[in-house]
Amino acid sequence: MDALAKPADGQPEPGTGVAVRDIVRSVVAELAPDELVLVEGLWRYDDDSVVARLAGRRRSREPLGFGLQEVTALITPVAWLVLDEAARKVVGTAVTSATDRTRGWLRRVTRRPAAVRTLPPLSEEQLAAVRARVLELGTESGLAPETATALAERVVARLVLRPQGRLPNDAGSDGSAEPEA
Amino acid sequence: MSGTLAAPPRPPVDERVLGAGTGLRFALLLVLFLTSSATIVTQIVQALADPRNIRVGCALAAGADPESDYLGIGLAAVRAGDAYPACLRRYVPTAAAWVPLAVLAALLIAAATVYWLLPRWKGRRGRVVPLQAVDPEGELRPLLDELVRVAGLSRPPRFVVAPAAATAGAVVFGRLRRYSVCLHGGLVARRRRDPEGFRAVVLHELAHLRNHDIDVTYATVALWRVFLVAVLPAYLFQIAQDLKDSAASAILGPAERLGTGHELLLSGVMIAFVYLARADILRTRETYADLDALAWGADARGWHHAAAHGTGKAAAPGRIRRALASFTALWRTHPAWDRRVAALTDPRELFAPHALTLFVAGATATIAGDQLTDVLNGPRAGGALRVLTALLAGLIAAIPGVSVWRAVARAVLTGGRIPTGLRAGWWTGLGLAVGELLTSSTSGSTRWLPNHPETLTVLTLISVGIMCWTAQFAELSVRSWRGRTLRPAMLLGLAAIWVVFALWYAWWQADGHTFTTGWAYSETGIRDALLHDLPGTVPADRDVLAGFAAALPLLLPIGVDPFIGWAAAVLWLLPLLAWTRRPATGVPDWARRALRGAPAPELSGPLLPPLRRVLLAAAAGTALCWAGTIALMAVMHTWQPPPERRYGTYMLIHLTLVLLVVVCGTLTAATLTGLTARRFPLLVALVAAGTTALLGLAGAAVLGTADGCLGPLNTLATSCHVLPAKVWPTVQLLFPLALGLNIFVAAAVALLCTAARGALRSRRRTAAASPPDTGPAPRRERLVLRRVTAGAVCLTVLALTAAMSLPRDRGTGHISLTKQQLIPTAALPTPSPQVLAAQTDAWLRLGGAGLMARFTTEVLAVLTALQDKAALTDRGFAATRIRPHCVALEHLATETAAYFPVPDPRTQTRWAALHERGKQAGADCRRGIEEGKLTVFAAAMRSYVDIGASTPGVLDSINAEAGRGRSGH
Repeated sequence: MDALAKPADGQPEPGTGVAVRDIVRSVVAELAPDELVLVEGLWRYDDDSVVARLAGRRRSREPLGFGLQEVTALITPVAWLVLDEAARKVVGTAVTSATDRTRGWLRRVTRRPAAVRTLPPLSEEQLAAVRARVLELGTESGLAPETATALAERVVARLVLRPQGRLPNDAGSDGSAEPEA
Repeated sequence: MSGTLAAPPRPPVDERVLGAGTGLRFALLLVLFLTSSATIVTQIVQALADPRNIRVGCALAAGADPESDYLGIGLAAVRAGDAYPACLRRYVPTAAAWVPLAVLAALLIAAATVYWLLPRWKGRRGRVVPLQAVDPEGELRPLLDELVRVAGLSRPPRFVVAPAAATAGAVVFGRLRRYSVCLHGGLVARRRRDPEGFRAVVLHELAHLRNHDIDVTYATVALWRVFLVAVLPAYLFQIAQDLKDSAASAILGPAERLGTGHELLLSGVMIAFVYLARADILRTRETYADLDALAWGADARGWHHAAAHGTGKAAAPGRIRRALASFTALWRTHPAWDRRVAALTDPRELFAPHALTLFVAGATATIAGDQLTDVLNGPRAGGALRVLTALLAGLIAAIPGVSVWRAVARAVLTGGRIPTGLRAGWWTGLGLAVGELLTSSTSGSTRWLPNHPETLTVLTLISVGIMCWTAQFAELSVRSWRGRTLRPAMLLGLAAIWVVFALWYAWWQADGHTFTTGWAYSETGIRDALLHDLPGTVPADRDVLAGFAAALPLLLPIGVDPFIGWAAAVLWLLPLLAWTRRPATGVPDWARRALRGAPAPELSGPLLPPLRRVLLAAAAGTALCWAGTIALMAVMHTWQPPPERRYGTYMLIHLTLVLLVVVCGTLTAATLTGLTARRFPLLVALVAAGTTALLGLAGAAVLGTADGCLGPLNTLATSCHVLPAKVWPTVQLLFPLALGLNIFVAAAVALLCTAARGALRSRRRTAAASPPDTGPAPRRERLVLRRVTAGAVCLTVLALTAAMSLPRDRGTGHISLTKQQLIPTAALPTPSPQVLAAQTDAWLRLGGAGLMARFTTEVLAVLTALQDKAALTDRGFAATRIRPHCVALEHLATETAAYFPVPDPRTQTRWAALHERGKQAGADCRRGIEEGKLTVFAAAMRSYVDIGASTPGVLDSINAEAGRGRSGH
């Protein structure tokens, strides 16, 4: 989070960034409204937890489950993971260190609110990279090619048209919870 | 399987026509957890209380040879008599009895805590979110409420969502009436795209709730987590300690290592069995949940879709791959998708359990049974052990029993082939035998297998016999049961086999299993005791008694069990009652419900052969019994000894021959009916056999009552008095054998006859192929006659059995057979020099050294006193200075006799002789002083001088023997 306060590579101030979760929600609302329930569910967690859960591929064999191990191809994980990855890359914290993880754990234990991960305006190359990554991860996750393309388009469009798509209430309140680094 | 495929389609039978039997299997797992934990806790507590392993020292001092087999070690302890328990009491420190109980209670509390916390962990905030939090507009809620209503749940569960789980599944968890259904994110996201799939998954989870699967499943999970986390590591640590200790001992080391290896193997296999059993039970519960969901309106396409996309698709081609796939499928908690889909239309798997299910149930049950016996082997725990063993026997019998009942019910309803019970009995019996092999109570420390593993076939035979009876009795009941549900009929059948199996299992646990280690009885000892008690009055009585001596150890424990009469009565009286039922027409309620409206086959009709045909066979057997009894009385009359000598071997042989005649008659009746009865041959043969035994015994009793008035038939009586009371002791003696053990032998013979007939005709019996016995419709008066006959037989047998079960005065029948006579001495192996050294060392440390020191001191004191001139002249001096030592030496001889003998028999002879002389001299010394007889006193003193001279030699021998092993111990 310190990197955001000290903009690198000519990045804008943090106040101008848009929350990753806002972008995900608006994209999901447009493309897969059925998944909004999941976004609502994930909304309760901080970004690190959400990413950890979505990236986790651990499939526990529950004794009294239905026994279906089939994974539904969802756009929420693809969008969230790619945007989070982009946000980290932009601010140069692509890899979370052990210290970060410990800090995150301590924060969760003490129930302190975490910073909302935001994305600054991206350059054209960066937008292209995000698009490519959405397509790549989308295909890996089993999304149909047309769904993956539509998702990539929507994500990029949403990143370009940031101010309009911003959800005033959630982003405003969550953004204010960001601690002073 | 091609035969199955070609079979015509059969109506599906409601899988709930009878209980599933999974509850019993869960109960067995819980029992296994308790017994395993108790065993390990007891072992650890014992090891902590007795770190130097003095218990083993006592066994060594008693002459146990760690290199010999289990029987040898066990017999050494028995041979040592009271000295062994005295050694344990005196030297082995034991923890208080409450310590293992407290640890066990702590484990249970830990398991309860895990059970309590598991749902909290699964439903923690970081993993799931409440439904209302993600569904503020209430879109999902009505849908789920509707499904809860469909499932008929009075208490709706809490719904939560795992938003990050992309799988299209759901899971149910919770504790004691507070349950949660967790919908995975993937499922929620496709609720509109695949509404049928959504319904199927949620209804499946609700079915688990309705079927009460959650509590038992998570209770098992909690118990086994506690076992794996708390008990098993402690056990492994203890094993490591044992192995470390065993490296230090050259003599005990190999035995300990082998014993430890045995235990490790047992633990490994047991854990594998537990996982297999758990997975198997859960797979069954899954199928039930699937069928319930389907019955509540779920679309089968939900399963077909899953089968098409699921990970557990049909195995790839290739024999090895298929075998591997079916092996891994055994460990999964869900059946393979192709099987799940198949079970939706034909749940035949729920009616014919996998062979492995029965095998594992048998094996785990024996392991639990042996652990139970090990833990409760104290003298005060006998009653508790008997009760718990009986309860466990109920579980062992009921698990395959339920499966046989289910299979029979389905076969009758669908017109399929009726199972014989052979398969269920065989696999359960095999499990019992293998479980027994895995436990160390049958094999010794020097071998992996017991000396006589073939004895274990007895377990399999018992199991097969009981299951064959169950199959036939189940068919008889299913075909004639008229109630709304079939359950009471099954409960009656299961209660019957519980009684029978409890008897045999108790015998196996108490006596039968020792035969796997060898023959633990001395035939010559028994024969000599019999000869002493029953003076010979007939030709070749030695040979006859030798035969008795061989048969008694086999027959006595089971043959005189008062329980055996009840167990045997159940086997033949229950089928007999079938003749008293009024033949009914139409389809009974339970069958209509079980077939869910499909056309039901005609279940009733003349099932059993006419009772008179059975009674005819019984009459033939009875005639044989009576004729035989008359013939043997005539023969015995020619040997008749004088009246005062008629109650020795003569009477014993008379009783034996009467018994043999009754047995022959019974077996004849059983064979006749077993070979001729087309339906229910075992049941019909048992009824014939039971009736024959009863009437045969009655004939013998009548003849016995008239004995003395029968002229050339008179045998025992000396005068003509018709007194029924005089034969009562004979009846009491013969009844448990004739109407107990004899009935079981008849059952075995009937089964053999059925098998032989089946092999001869090599024709498979199907309900369709074998039309019911044709005969005239039973008339009313016949039914009354049948009821009167059956009622009279039942009442007589029950009254007699009850009379036999009353406590009896056993004081009159004392025999002179002692425990020492019973133990075989011929097979005593000579221990190796190292073992002998270790035994002598233990002998010295655990009391021998003390005896030696006291003996030497007392003899030295006498010899020192003798140095004084007054010793032989002054009576007062002798009385005060010598007499106390003489008395002490007398007492010491008694103490030495109560202690273990010196392990080396040659040294023991010298040691015992020393004490014998010391005792004699002590008595002489006392007498000489008290009566003032100088010559007696002087002779005693000379004896002491001699003893003093020979003592060092004996003591040196003992010390040298022990010293040889010191370096290796």
